[in-house]
Amino acid sequence: MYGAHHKVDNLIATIDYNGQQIDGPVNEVMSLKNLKAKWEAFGWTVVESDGNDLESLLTTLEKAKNLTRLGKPVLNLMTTAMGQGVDFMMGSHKWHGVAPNDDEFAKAMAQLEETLGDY
Amino acid sequence: MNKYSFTDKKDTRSGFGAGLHELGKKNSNVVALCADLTGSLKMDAFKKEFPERFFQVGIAEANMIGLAAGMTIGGKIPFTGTFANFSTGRVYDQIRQSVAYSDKNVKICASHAGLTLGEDGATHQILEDIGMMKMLPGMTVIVPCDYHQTKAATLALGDHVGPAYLRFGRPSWPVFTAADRPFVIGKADRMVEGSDVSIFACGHLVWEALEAQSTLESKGISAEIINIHTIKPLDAEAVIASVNKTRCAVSCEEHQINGGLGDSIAQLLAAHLPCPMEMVAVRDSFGESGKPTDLLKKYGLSAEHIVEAAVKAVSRK
Repeated sequence: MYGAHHKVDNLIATIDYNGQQIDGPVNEVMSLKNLKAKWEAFGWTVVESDGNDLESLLTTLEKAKNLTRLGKPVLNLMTTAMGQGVDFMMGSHKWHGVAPNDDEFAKAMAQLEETLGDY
Repeated sequence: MNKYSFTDKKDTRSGFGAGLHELGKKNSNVVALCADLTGSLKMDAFKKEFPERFFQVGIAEANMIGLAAGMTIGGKIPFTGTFANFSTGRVYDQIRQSVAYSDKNVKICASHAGLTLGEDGATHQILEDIGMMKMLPGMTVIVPCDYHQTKAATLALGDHVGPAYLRFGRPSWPVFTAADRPFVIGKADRMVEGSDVSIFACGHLVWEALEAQSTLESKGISAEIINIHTIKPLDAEAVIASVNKTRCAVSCEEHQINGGLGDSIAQLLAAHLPCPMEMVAVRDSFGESGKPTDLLKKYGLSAEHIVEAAVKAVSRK
């Protein structure tokens, strides 16, 4: 609200939107409906990205940067899958509130060719 | 030796879950609201048996308190459930305006309170909630000591009329009270009789106080242990009667030194029976991530600290 009102146009915010919460999928617990339209209604420019595809994410962030200085703050609505690339973590909300133990961590890391640590 | 023993350890939040489930069977006006923590608050059994009386509100605690306040108008008895920090600090305004000031029969049930939340760390370890809630006019504040007492307190709240705050926790903790031990809101429970020092404790620290009592006994100090499960209204009669005999006091709580049980006791004693008093509480700092018992030790809340405080209180007489 403040950012749009004051035309804070050197600002890019990112939402890591994994669609899960501790009791289950957000759409089952309490749907947020159209999150993009909500931000737009608050006066932000919204770009959408896939947070699990780092190359395309970098492209989207460039695009977001090009949309600054145009009188509006910019939101990067970044869709992600929790536990992407780890077979026992994907497609579940279970890991929202649970930390992997040392064994689980080692198993998970063994399945990932690339992590944020590579960037 | 500790006058109480336990064969089982259970989390107090499970006592809440069991009490709520039983209350649901007894009273069809009881409804439950939860802000995305059904499993953590142990509300699954109630949800499963009474789906039409269970309301998942999502991560929208302010909305939850507003909905609960509204439901009381039609005669429902709403029990809200989330972590203690989200139950109080996050929604203080809604509780003040829509529940306390409006005198609505809402039962605010709060888990994961205090340092014993453990590994989740300082962001979630609220140590100010008793203070915030007890300052609200008309708010009853209950902090039970173990699984059985949390269950009993939950059941008692079904018959209680008016706004109430029930605070419990996450870790497995000794279950040392009998399932049928009487529980009356506002009536302190004397656990051990003694003559040299009155130790007033609430929540998880009642067990620590009982452990301290046995150490004190070996040092020749006779400690009276009183479980102040209801911090507000405070059982002034029980506090005065005990201190009249012992002439010094120690308070023990998993809360800031400002605003908690110790404050309530000190206020009463200052006005009616001034005497040496020591407070075992968190000294104006936030918590941190760690194992519950390690944190109690680090922050000065374990049995050994209660012993030190009691020895000091007695020496100041």
